[in-house]
Amino acid sequence: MQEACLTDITPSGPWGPRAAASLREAEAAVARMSVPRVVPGMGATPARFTGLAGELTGILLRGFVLQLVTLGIYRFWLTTEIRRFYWGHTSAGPETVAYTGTGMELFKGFLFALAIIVPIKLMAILIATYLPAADVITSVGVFVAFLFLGQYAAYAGRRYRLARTSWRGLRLRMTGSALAYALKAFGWSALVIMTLGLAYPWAAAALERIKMRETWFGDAQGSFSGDPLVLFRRGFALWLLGFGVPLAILISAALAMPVGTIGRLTAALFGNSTLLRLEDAGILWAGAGAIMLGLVLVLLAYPAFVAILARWRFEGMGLGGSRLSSSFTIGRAYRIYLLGYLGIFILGMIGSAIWSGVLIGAAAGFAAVGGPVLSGILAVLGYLGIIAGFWILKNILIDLRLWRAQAESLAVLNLAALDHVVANNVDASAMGDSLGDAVAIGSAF
Amino acid sequence: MTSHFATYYDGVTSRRREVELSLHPDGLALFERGGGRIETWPYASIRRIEGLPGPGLVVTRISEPASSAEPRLEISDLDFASNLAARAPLTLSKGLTARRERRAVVLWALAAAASVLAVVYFGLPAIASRLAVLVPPSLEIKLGESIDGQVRSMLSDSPMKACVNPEGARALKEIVDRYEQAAQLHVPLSVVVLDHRLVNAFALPGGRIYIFRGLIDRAKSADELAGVLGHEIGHIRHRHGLRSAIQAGGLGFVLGTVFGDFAGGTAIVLGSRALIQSSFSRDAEREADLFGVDLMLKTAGDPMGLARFFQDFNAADPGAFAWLASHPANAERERAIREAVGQARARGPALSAMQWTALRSICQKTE
Repeated sequence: MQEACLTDITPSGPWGPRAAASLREAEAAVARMSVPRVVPGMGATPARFTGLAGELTGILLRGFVLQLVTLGIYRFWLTTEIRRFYWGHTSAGPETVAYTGTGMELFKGFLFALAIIVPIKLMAILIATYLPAADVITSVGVFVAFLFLGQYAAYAGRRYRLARTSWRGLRLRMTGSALAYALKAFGWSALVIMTLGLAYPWAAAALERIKMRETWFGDAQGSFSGDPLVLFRRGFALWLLGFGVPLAILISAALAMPVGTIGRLTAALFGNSTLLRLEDAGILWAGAGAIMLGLVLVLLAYPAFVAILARWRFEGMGLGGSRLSSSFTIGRAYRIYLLGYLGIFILGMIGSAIWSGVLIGAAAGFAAVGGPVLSGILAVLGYLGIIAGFWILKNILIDLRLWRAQAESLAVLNLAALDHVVANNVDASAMGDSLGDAVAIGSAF
Repeated sequence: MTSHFATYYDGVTSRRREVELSLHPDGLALFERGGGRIETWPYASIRRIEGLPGPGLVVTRISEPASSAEPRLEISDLDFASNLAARAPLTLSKGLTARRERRAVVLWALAAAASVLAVVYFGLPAIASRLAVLVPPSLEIKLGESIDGQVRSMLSDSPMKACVNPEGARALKEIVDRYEQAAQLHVPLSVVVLDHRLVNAFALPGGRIYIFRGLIDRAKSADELAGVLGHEIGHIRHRHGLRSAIQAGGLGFVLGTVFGDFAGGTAIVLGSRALIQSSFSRDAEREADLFGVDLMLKTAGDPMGLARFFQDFNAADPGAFAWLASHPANAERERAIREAVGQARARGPALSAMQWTALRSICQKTE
């Protein structure tokens, strides 16, 4: 009876009468305090990451085998285990972040995503069967559709992951419409492509702003204050290196082109190469060289790009009255990627050599008994073992080290501002997350 | 009554509180450090939260109707935790629920994979044969034409020439016409001999059959060649090209969409796809063999010619790898043909000796 009275006089809110009651109690408690609340200072609380490679390796090894046995269905549970590992070992202040999602949720999300993916793929197959001439248009259409769905999934997937991220007993959440975000992101990507990447900082800032402003921890709203000009200034040298240099070579090659080259090259393309001259071949070589050089430069510049972007994003992020700061450096990123890939290469080679030695030995030993069937099985095992090895090495030597370095580069300014946040838990489906996996343009994990 | 301290988040605010716990008959009671009771959690509604690092027990209370608050209680005292576990439906062993769930997932996933594969294995051929009949012949012919160019360019670098020596062509037309009439096909038949040393013949959707010179050279009698021709006509009559296209598409679609997408997944998916497809293909070959036998018994030619062809054609038998091959083992095919012929007698030779000689010279003129 008394409970009913309480709910009559105060709005119960979305968390039910008990929550409403304790909420009022909490407010009263704060008001009752004789000592006024300490004005939050701008102290920096470093973030920590305590995850060890051994634990992750165990998860990955078991997960790989179970995935194989279940033809891949176990991947949703493996993703969940990996996220639990990363979330559970990351902390700011005394509390770690907890991942509360389950594999079953991801699996259900996958089933929902199938409902979107299947008709698209089916249509593409039908068109390809009945109209083989429209092959190119169909694949471009599917690519564009997947690109759009990928943007949708990036937002909806983030919503799911935040809704399953709990800290101090409260969940994060995300409002807003994934569809509206996907439309905007799609427009921005078109602009980025048209400007050869120069518009990227503005696109990144606009999209990050949308995502962070719709992010909530209880009643504390997220914000993003990253300045696209800053990102542009920091990244311009990289852009010049990766795009500018090859572009300049291409342009100068085109300008230096002798009269009639295009005509002769076109003729050569249609089978008449008798007219080709030596200087035409020089143009071709310059073009091919510029493209190769561009690829190499892009690969070499990638770690720097990751570092610049990560730091700029972190430093722009805020939640309620608190902010993030990051000390992640370009040098750190190069150390992770270069040492990581060197390690993968060396360990991978050694591992493959030992593994194939063992298999060849076993094959020789069993040759008399099992014949071709056994050697076939051994070949499949060898192949899977090598795949597993490289996959685990990549996860441990690159992904884990990158996460650790980035997490440990972070500090929360004014963490105390999040001490008195009030809950506003909402649920979110895992559909977007699984959709992202299905169209293969999702985020890291 | 023993009491212990624990860290408590009420799930409504982010405030961290040190609380005192006590086990009451009706539930776990939480007290402020000063002494005021905060609330009591009925034992039945307490659950362990998994996936958190470090020792100790972390529990929550199942949310009440119309509430989504997730209160959280971190108990570091293990003795108190086990006392609590004795009263509440809790397991103290870390990860036990996760292990149980994992086992269930693996078992169910195995069952799901097996049933999807079974549906594909048994259902897809049935669906494909129903669908293939619905495809209009004009479309089948168009499909055949588009495959035709690809196949011919795949087989050899230079465009292959067709054999057109007039006497040979007349002999070939004679037998083709007879078989075409008896077979009652849905598409017009067009048989072309290609000037290439391969010992092979194949049929494309839309009624086109290619026979390679190598096969004619190798055949010891007109009956052997006629048997192969009857077999290829069987492929066309049963729309095998169309059916295998539908089966391959459906198979790739199901396996690629439901399974796959993980490290090593491509190998598994490609492997199972190849296995199932070659099993479909073996079935189609058997069907075509039987059709060829039937066709010859109805018109002319000795079906045992086909059997003899397989007997002579001493391709290495796959042995233990029979389940991987796209065609049934030759010995098995020969036996099946023998059984199908049974006591039946051939109505007459496929071609006269003179016609057979003429046919063998068909590649003396090419274009």
